[in-house]
Amino acid sequence: MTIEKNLNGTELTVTITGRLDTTTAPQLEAEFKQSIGGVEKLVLDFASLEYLSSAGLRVLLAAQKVMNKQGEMIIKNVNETINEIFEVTGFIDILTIE
Amino acid sequence: MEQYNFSNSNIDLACEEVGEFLAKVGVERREALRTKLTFEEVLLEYQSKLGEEATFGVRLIKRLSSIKIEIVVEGESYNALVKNSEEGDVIQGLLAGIGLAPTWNYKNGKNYIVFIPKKKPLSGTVKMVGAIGLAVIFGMILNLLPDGIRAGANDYVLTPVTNAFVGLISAVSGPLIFLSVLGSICSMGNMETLGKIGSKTIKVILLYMTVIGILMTAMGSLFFRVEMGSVGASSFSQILDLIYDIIPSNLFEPFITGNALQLIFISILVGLAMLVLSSRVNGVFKLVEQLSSIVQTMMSGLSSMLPILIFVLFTGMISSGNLNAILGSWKMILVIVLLIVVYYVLNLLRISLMKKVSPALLMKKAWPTLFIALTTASSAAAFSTNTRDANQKLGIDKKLLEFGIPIGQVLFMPGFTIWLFGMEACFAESCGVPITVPWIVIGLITNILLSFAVPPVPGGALMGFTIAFTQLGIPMEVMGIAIAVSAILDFPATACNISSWQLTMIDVADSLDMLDKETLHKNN
Repeated sequence: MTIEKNLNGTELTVTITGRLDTTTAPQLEAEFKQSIGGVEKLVLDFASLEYLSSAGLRVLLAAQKVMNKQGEMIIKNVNETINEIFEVTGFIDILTIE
Repeated sequence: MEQYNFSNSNIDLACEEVGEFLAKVGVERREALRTKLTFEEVLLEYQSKLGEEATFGVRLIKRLSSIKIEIVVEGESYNALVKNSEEGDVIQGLLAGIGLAPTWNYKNGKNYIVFIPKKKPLSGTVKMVGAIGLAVIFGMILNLLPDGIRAGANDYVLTPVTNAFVGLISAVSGPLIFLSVLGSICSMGNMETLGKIGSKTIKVILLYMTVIGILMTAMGSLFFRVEMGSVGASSFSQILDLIYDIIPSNLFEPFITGNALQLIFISILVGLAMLVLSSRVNGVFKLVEQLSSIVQTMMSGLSSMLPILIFVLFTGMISSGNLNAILGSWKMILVIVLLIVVYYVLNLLRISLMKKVSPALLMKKAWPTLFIALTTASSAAAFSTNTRDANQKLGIDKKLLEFGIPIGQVLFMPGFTIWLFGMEACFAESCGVPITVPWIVIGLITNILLSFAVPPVPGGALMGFTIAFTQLGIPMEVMGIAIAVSAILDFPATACNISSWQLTMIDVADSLDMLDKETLHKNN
């Protein structure tokens, strides 16, 4: 999995490529811990995300909780596979998906 | 079984294996996805609790039509499925019984988590339609052949195969119904920990199911030719005979005769005795659980051969030209669906009136769950939406839902009761069985008992039909049609069961002071 970050003022865009599973989730978690302090808008671009596991969902949930206090988090370019995962787990009601 | 430590890469590997297994055995995609994610979640929980050095093993099992995934974790007892819940074991047992959630068990120093995912429902329907199609062709060919050959086919193939199947189903139905009722009562014993919530919910279900049964049977009788001249002293004595007959003369006779009502009576007696004896009969509780698994596996195996039974039954009917029951099935479907809709609307209006909420608003809140159940015929598929909306839109407390939803899905089945009655009456009419008032009352008592006793497992409905038809003198030749129309009726019946229980829980919640009325009245 590769992570690209783009900070524009208080808006951070994170593009994730590959699989977000148990092995790679700690990497994203570490990136968030390092980068989202002071961010008011966190945009996650899932255009190149192939798979999202339960471990990945935990990381997203933790990020959502942090961003609820300091701004907003948006997920965009969600493909059918990822959207189905959000639907099946109920995360579709928790996350802001565009 | 190989052991792996809880490293992230091993967890990923195990999840991939499970995903491949589920695809290979034909589990429906969303169900497979849900199972795989839950499987991973369980492993992550154990990783967090026991550390990466602890080990786990995985078993992927497919036997006949039953699929099972088992995680075995050695170490301290820890239920990774339930957090902060006093009712953990009971709820999980109920959920697993309807295939909704994994179960957890701890024995000999190991935690066992078992998943029982369901196969694609469409594959069963396709096989059934294929069997009917083939039966039509063979039946028509047989019709064209000389009488001797047709009679020979009937006497030496069709009839013996039918009798063998029906005999097998009857043989397995008896023990299944006994163990199913006994198992339900044994698990209810743990309701001491549930106290007010559990006992109130059960009482509401028992009362409502009895009232619904009486009301819908009376209403349904309007669609059929009932011989009113049958009302009198002799009909009253027939009904009394049925009630007295429920009590057997010895404990073993019902198993020999296969009398389902007597089996239900004995299982209730044995179950209550076991609850009183409690920890002194722990071995028997375990034995009941294991025997249930055996018998359910046998019934599941029989269910997988249903297309053969359908083929044989339909071929027999078509070749003999006896098409009354087939032609009458359109009326059966219409009457049953109409009665289900009438019941649902009456229940909705009742709750709307009593809680002073507009019926349109109630319907809007109930619609997502109703829609999923109607389009999937699956309580599992509707489960998460059901739980979410019951709390967030209807204002029912989560603590009630934890127990209420699974127990309702096992016991609250007005759709099935209506379905059974409609089917019995239609077949009775087309097969020339007189529909008398005693017949209706006997059917009512049988159907109410069966709606509680029939387990929601593969073959459960088939077992219910066998018992009901035997009780009411309906010939077994119509079983093929009963199974065939089940593929259609399962959808509205399941939707009715799930959605009407969701609404009825508003009553239960209100009586227990667990209803947020503001949420109920809010247009959300």
